[in-house]
Amino acid sequence: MIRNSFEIVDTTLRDGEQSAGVVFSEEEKIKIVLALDKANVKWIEAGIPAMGNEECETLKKMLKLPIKSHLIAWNRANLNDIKASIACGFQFIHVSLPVSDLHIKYKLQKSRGWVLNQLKTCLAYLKSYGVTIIVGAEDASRANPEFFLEYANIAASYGAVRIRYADTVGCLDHFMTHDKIENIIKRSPIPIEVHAHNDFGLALANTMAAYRAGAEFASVTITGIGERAGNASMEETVASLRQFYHYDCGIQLHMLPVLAEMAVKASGRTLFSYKPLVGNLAYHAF
Amino acid sequence: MGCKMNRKISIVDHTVNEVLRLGYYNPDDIHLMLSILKKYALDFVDISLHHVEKSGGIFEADDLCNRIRCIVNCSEREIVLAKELGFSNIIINCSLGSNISIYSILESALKKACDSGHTIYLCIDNAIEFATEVTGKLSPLVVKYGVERLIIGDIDGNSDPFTTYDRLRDLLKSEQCPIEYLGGNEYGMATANTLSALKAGVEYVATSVSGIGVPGMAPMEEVLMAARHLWKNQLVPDGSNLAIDCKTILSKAGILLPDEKAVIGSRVFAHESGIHVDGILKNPELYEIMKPEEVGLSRYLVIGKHSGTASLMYKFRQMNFSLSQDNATELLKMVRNVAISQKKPVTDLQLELIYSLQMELVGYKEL
Repeated sequence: MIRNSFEIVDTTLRDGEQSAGVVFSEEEKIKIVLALDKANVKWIEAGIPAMGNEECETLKKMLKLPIKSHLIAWNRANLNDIKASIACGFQFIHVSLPVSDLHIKYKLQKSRGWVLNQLKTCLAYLKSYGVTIIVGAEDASRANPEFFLEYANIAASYGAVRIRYADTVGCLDHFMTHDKIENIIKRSPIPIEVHAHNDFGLALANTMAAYRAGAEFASVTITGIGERAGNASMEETVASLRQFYHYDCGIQLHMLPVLAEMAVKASGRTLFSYKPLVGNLAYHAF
Repeated sequence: MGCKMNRKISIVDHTVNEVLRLGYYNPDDIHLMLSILKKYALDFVDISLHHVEKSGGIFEADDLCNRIRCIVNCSEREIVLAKELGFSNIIINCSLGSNISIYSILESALKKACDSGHTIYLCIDNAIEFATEVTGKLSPLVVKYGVERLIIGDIDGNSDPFTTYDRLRDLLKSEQCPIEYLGGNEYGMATANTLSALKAGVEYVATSVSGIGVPGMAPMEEVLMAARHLWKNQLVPDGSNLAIDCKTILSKAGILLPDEKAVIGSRVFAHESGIHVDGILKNPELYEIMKPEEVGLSRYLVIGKHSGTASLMYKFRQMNFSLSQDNATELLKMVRNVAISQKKPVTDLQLELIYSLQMELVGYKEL
């Protein structure tokens, strides 16, 4: 019997738009936010204020919308980026650093100690503004679990409400995901959010495996749009939670095809006829 | 990364069946598809008798018939017809459920198939939903009629991958003939369920290229490449032509492959965002779990709204234009504005134009 709650974090407007070649207009973004709110999606990763003034203006307009959903600003862990999010008026702020040695060595060209210090610097700054902090751990699936926990402990000590466990390159299957998340959850001081990528078509299965292992949040995108082969799709995640685990995560099912159509149109893509649940040859569960 | 598993994997194809369902009957195209599929651990190609009848018998007296199994219902008429059409391998397909007389109907069909000289495969397309005791009732029939293989189906995709693993592992312990797994993709779990079947010890699994079918199937490319790259299974065939092979097969049926299709889509090794491109330029392993050429694709960098200065400088170096960090920052603003206004990436031609404009603005200083 699985007892943990499981909340959906939509990242269509951040990770979805980061997909190569995709640009959402301001009007499309606002429509998507309103539809996500109508669908009862509690958490929406709205964008990256560090992208520049034009992006910030759009994000400020989103923040003024009369919605229940919490809008989150995504940030690299540096103070300039974070200041842009604070200046926009965000109350929910995501700060991300890579945690695998591969990323620390080759991308950051720093050390584990530098990562931990950088996190502390950013979180201390955020704490002084009294915002809700969410911490991201990029490439967590290839990281040393002890280091991930050390990182999670720092996040918790500054009041972060959850930590994102990102399978950045989609290198896990569902068995590995379950084992890794289960192992971490036993010792993590804060709830885990799973963030799966679909490089081998396993993002949904890995998201469900994380739920079974005790994760309490999942970041997903509408139709799975995202970097490379994409992310776990919202519609498959919501339907699978109901089908396999009889769990209602609160999302309004009738809105899922609406959202799918909206995201596909805005991204300039076409929906594969065979795509589960929303393709025109698929079984429609909603 | 991941567990090593070096068991043999055999693929049962359902791509051709979907192509026939769509009404594409060109024998040359079907032969081309079969010859391509043979490169990817192909065991059999399954085709519904219904589609064969509609196709006008394109498989008659064909040497490839030995690689094809004809799917029939528990119907003596269909079993006889399959034989008349030249098929020696048949799959008798049925569902367990409320019909309590299914076992006697099935026995009649098995007897007819046996008398007709068929090699018999038995598919229970919802078997995964039933406990081993229920499927255990089939064992005497399997033995009595010499069923070659029992196909455990989850055609509606109703089982999660952990349940699939547990049930198939239990079945493998008790069943007296080889087991095959057939999983549908209604919820998007077919790849994971099929990997669960393989991990439980099943050798034969049903797939289709890109998961096509009604209902959908596990995409062949995902199952094979997950086994090869996540499980380091060296028995899985090389994928260096996989993308073009899959695209060729689908194109024969007029199916356009989505650019973002996992493993084989043309854009799964495209990178735009500043963070990712910066990483890729430092070490591709940072953002790619396998090399593009391992599936027959190429990496490419897209310049657009999410680009950063590192990708811009790299791109201009490729175009033989020099660019300082400061000017890259300025130029990036223009690039982003163009991408936003046109709602798509910036082309090389546009980049050249933006570069020229910037040169004029700064009076050719330092560029």
